[in-house]
Amino acid sequence: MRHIITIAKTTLIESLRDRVFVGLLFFLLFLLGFSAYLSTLSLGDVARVIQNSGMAGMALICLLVTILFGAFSLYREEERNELYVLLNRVPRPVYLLGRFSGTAIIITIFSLVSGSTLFLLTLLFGGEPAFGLIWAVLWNICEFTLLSGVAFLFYAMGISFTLNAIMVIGIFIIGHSMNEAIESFIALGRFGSPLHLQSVKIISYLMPNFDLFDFRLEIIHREQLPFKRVLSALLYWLFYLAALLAAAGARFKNRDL
Amino acid sequence: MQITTQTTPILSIRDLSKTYRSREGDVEALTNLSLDLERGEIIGILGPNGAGKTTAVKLIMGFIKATRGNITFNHEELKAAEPRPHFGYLPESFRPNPNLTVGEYIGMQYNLALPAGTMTNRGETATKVSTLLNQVGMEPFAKRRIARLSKGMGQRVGIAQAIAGNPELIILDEPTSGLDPIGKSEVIDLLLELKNEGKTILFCSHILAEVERLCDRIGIIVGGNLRFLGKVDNFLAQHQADDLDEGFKKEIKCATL
Repeated sequence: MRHIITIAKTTLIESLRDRVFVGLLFFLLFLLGFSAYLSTLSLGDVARVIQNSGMAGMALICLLVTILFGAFSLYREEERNELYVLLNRVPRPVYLLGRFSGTAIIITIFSLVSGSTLFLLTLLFGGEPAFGLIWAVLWNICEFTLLSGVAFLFYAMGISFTLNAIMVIGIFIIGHSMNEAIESFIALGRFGSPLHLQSVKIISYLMPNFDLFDFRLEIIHREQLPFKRVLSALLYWLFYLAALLAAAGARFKNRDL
Repeated sequence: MQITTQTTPILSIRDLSKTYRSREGDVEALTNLSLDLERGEIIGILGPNGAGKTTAVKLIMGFIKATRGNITFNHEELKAAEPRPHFGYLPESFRPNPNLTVGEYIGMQYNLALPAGTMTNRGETATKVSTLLNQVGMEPFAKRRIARLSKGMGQRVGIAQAIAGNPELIILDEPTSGLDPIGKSEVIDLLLELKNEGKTILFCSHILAEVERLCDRIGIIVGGNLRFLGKVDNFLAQHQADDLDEGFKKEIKCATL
């Protein structure tokens, strides 16, 4: 446990001092400010426009954080040969867990900054902010920690950084498109049987399925989040993440470095 | 060749081999390496580029799996992909994270090197870090960011992290690689100090002068094979050479015939 905390803490300190971190933070604030500007041009509810486009901006930034501070930092450490020094002292799965924990903290920081900025911007532009933004922050953390887990698994498998980044972006897009694609195919009558449909739905949950964390409509319209959906999303996140990290640890342990 | 030693060796390697498989065909990077390392001894492993020195080090450190052979440390067999808590290690072309200060980096390494279950506080860690940095002459630079260090200073930090856990065996892979003459001299002086403290050191180099100055015994690897293991005087006598440079060239010539 001490090793995980030490590596996580170091990951956080390294990242906070990285110019890329500051750059991404400014870019995030720019995106959120832009969403506030958009609200002044729209005819709709100011709060909805800010929160809707703001949450999209939050997701984009966290995708970049996942790639730059999650995946890239692992490859950079290996390239500097610092990885070997660390693995001399800690078991490989522990190293990955420590790095992942640090990445999760960075994702949390960006999500919290986004959520609180959106809240303030909505107030500033005369809208009524939704307290459900707290849920938006939580689901954002769940989504991108899961995506980081995927990036870590790809790293553990020895995939190059470029391919890792491309595949992570691909999985992000697919993970947000699965439900819509299935519904389209249902509407077009493309499924031959209920078994066919169920098989495709099971595959969509293996992908991972980020639509499970999409409560944007409920948050923007200030609706109560359905308890069952919330619970199943949290459980899905927990088990999927545990499986990803376990697989990454096991694969990393067997890999020649 | 004097593979075995008179007393119980601290490190014992038997028939260590590594074959890399590729589409172009198998490459035997190391073949049947056997040697014993006695406590308090310094062995220098020499060889041209691509001889198999780094492969040997990576096998000893467990970063890659051996195709054949075994390694024992204090009579216990070492397994691949496991940390080596009793080893200090400095890899070739080592570059620690530039965003940390020297003190923070060594503090992290010290914390990671502590045995499991050991409790420590900030004061104790700070004292230990100060001692380590003093030993390598880097105490005045404790608050300096690693990015602002010269290469020679960076290597001294690398040696500080290698001795952070008070290791029984220190393994250094090309510790003076890329350094200017002053940097080289500083590192050699440090290694001489460690030698005088009775540390056991295995180091790889292709710089003959430093090997001649530091080592009790030398091993020469060419084309993945250990061609000689013993004292420098014996090597020179065997090749009827005046110095290590001449003897080394003759050995390479013999190996390629």
